[in-house]
Amino acid sequence: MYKALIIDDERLARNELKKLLADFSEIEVIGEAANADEGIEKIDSLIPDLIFLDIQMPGKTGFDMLQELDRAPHVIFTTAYDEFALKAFEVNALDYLMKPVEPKRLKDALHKLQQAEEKEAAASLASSFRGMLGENDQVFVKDGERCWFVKLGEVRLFESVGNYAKVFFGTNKPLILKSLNALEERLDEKVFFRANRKHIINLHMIEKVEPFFNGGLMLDLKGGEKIEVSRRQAVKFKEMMSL
Amino acid sequence: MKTQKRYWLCQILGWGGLMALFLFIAYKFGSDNFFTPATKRNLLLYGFFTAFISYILSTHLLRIVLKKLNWLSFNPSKIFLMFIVGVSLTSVVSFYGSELLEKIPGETYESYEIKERKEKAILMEKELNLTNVDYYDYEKNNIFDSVKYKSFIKIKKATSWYKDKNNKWQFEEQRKGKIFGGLFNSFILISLWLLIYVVFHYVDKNRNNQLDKLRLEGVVKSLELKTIKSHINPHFIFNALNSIRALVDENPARARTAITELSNILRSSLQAEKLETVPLEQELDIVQDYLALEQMRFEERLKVEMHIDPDTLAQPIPPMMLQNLVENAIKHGISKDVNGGIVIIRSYFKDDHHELIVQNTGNLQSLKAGTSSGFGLRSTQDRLNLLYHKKAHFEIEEKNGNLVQSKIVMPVAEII
Repeated sequence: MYKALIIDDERLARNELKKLLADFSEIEVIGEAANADEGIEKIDSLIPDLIFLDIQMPGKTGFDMLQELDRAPHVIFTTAYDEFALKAFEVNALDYLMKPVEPKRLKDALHKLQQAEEKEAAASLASSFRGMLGENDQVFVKDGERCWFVKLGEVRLFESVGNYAKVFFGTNKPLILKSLNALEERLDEKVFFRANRKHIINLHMIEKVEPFFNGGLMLDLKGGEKIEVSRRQAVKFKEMMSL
Repeated sequence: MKTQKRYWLCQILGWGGLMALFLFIAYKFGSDNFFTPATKRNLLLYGFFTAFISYILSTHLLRIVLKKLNWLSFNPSKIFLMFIVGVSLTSVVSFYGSELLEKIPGETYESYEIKERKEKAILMEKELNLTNVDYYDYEKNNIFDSVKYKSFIKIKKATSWYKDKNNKWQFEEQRKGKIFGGLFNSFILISLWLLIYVVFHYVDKNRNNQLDKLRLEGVVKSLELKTIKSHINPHFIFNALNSIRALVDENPARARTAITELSNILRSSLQAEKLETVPLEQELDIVQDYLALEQMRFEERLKVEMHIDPDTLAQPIPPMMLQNLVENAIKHGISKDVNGGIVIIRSYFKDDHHELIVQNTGNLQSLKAGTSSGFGLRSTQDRLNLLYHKKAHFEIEEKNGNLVQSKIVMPVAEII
């Protein structure tokens, strides 16, 4: 049973989707929202497993809303026709439905979701303690025309750039509007380690550790980045690693 | 026809100018005896004239052949081959052609000069009291150191005699050297000609390509104008259909009218391509259908006001233009704001002009952020220019900080 939230600015569009979802017993619509701000509120209070999200909404778009979330739930986009958004989808193979929604397409999308969910459950049951962001949680990242859902486990490095953080994964390094300190508070410290003032690294992505000046350390990450660990943090790092 | 004329002008001026230049150099820096006596001068001038004719005809022949071969489509290596073969053949043709023409009157400048030099040599020998016979004897007997013999040799050399294979004195007509020199000159000049010809055609071809590109851009632009005329945002169509599907259960009567409204809009957008103008009344019907559908979607978020002077209803306006402005007003004004807003449409006469106004809540900042709207606005002005030849104009501005107003001012049409 999935708890679903519908976010769309048009009442009729929400009704239509609810009507279509009534045929799927595994989906329970637990709420709806008419704009992004309302959407964030409902996501925080209702904690849905899945959201149906319209992209074109007044105030903030669906993309804007996702970027504000710490942890992105499963998302199925709904849009009438939007070349710009469609391009983003094609590149990153996010799931989306075109309005008016075809019942068969809806069924496929839900099926795909179920498969993804099962895979995740098998991969790790341990990280499901709520509150902290673990390796299996995903964040939504948008950089110009491109957007991604990124599993935190795939992120090598967060780098502080003023009020933003640069997220290193694969060959990409887009910016997200979150400070490094805010990230540190939310990230699972078993996986993510504050190496110095500017960097948080993924411990699973370390390739090599070398001693550095003043009792510090130099870490080589899998993507080729070299990160210095400050003296104070190096003590902590050694402690963690010796366990 | 024009290029043909230009070609001949270039040929005549080019070759004529070159001949004139050679003559000028000969006159200015050459020795006087190029031009004296009159017979010799006339022969010289005639020689230059024949060269002039021969160069023009031979290069023209080259041009005909190249055109037949369609050389512009050649690849570089083929062009190189064409250069070598073309220039060689043409220089041979022009050289011998010129010689042939020169010989028509019987005497040529060259033969005159040979004659002159022969006479001069004989004269000098006589003056120095030398006779050929003596010197043959000297040579036979290997007596080369006599003063007389030495002056004999000097005269012979100075007047271009030489000894042939049989050790006999011959007057040197310099045949071989002259042919080689003449051919070489021809070769250089014709190479230059072909170089200019090829470069000119390349530049011309390039310019033509650019012209073609510009022309194509014009066509594309007019096509764009046509499509913007009938352009209905697909986003709108699919959203409307989605709303209608929801209404089928909720409010079947409203769903039926909505289908009618959508059909009207689609039909008129298809017809818009065929018509230059439609009466305002007809356009307003479409706009009203459109707004009704949008109100179905946005519900209480969209408010509409119309202030239409009934006298303006018969005025002709470009089809779908008002519709596009209203669509923009909703896209940039209403759909962006959580609380929605109002769309106001006004039509009235002012100072011999018919003014159409669409206002919506919002500000221009958000409009400028979206680049796609720029095309719509520009094409509105373009369409007005096409239809009214600058007698109409379009402007968009922000009013009171919370209202965006687009205004079309058109000349008033006489309605019979």
